[in-house]
Amino acid sequence: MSTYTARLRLALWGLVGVAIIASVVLFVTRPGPVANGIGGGEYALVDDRGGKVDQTMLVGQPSLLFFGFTHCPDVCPTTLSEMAVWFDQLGSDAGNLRAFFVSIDPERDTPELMHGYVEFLGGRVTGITGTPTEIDKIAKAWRAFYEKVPGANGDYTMNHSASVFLVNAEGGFEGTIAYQEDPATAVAKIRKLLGKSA
Amino acid sequence: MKTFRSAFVALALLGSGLAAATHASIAVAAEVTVGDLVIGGGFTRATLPNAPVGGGYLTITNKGSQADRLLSAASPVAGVTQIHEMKMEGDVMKMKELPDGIEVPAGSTVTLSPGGLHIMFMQLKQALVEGTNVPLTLTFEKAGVVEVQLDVGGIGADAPTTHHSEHSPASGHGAHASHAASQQTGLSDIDAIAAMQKQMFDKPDNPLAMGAIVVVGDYAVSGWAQGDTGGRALLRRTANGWGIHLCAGDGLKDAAELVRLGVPEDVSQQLASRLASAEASLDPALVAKFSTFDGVMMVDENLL
Repeated sequence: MSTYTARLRLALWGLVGVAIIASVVLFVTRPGPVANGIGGGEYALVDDRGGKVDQTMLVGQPSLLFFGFTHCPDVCPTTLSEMAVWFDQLGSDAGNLRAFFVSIDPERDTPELMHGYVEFLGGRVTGITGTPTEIDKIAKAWRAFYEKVPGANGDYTMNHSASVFLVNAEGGFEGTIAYQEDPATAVAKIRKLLGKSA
Repeated sequence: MKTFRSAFVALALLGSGLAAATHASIAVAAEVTVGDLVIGGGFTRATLPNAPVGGGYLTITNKGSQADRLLSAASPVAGVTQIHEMKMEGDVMKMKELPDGIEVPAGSTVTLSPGGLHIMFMQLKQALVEGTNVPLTLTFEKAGVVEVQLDVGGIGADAPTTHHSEHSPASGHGAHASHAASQQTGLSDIDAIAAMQKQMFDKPDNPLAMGAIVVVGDYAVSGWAQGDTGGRALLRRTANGWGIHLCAGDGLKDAAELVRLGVPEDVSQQLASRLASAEASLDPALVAKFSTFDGVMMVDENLL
């Protein structure tokens, strides 16, 4: 065996090694319950009808996940009304797509309050609230930022992440829709999510 | 065939015009001048049920040579009214009260708009309903106190609704509409609805054909065809008789869509199932015309 052939073999085995490592890396980082460190977690919450829910609510169907609060004059009602438009544009293509509006102000957002708020959107959006500790777990799992801003007379408002998370049927992170994203782009992103979850 | 549709547009405009007329003292969304300041473009958004807060938006133009300052705001619809600033920092929405108000520099315009500066209505005492107005009292450091009216637009409204001053409530379809109301007395619900829609839209050269009409409680859905086109109307019972709430096509066959439009769930399901069986006995060619109406056109049933 010439030195040249031996070197070539070594180089080829090296390439095989790189390929194996690459496929392992791809396997580990493929979209799943926890991709890019976003998603997953364990939490025990309640929906707007008072029913118990946990992290499995995001499994079994594609979902839209939005963090907000009802004492929100602009971003939250705007985003929820945009969601209604997306559902309208998708029509029957929306299939079993679900949408969750998670309160980051659980002290004020009771299930009853959330129910009336989301019911207007025709049962397509489920309101989620719970104890501050459990809300903090889902928010941290999804890297959703929120903070309380004290105002006068003990009143307060909330700063919070305004993006809508696209969640695949395994409960994994697939992407986001930005606040006031162009409706056509938003619907295209949802269609892509539905295609992957089909 | 535009007859039915354009009549609906006229009615929708008229509905807003009437709403304006009920708040006669101040021009709606019109400009109001106080001292050197001109305030215009005032609007707010319809609130979701149970929503405890709302935002108010307007523009303030300072035509004078001295800066002024918006110090405070108040409205009877809210327990607390504040001046707020909202901004996006990356993906995060941040909101804060501006206790010192907003400066309006000489010769410039300050815009309060969604996503930015806004009037924050807190502890709302009532839902803000699309098509109505919200009075707002503004106090300026130099110009003093002024009351303006904000048009209530849709939940996602980005701008005030069109001004309606050119539409006189006494003209055209207004007379038809009130006439239609008087024709409904003594009739069954179905006959009253058919009579009202015919009264409004039937033309000798372009007759209106009514399809199935189903009534559940204070809600009804009717099919109609005129020439080559058609649609379905969602109706509500008002103090003055049946009025058209909105017009659409296939959506009004669907219980979920009716729920989304604000019809109670049990009523929606009954309406949808009764409509399906009623339409099954009609000529399929006629029913097909009911599906030709694109989108949803809001009409105010209270304009009767």
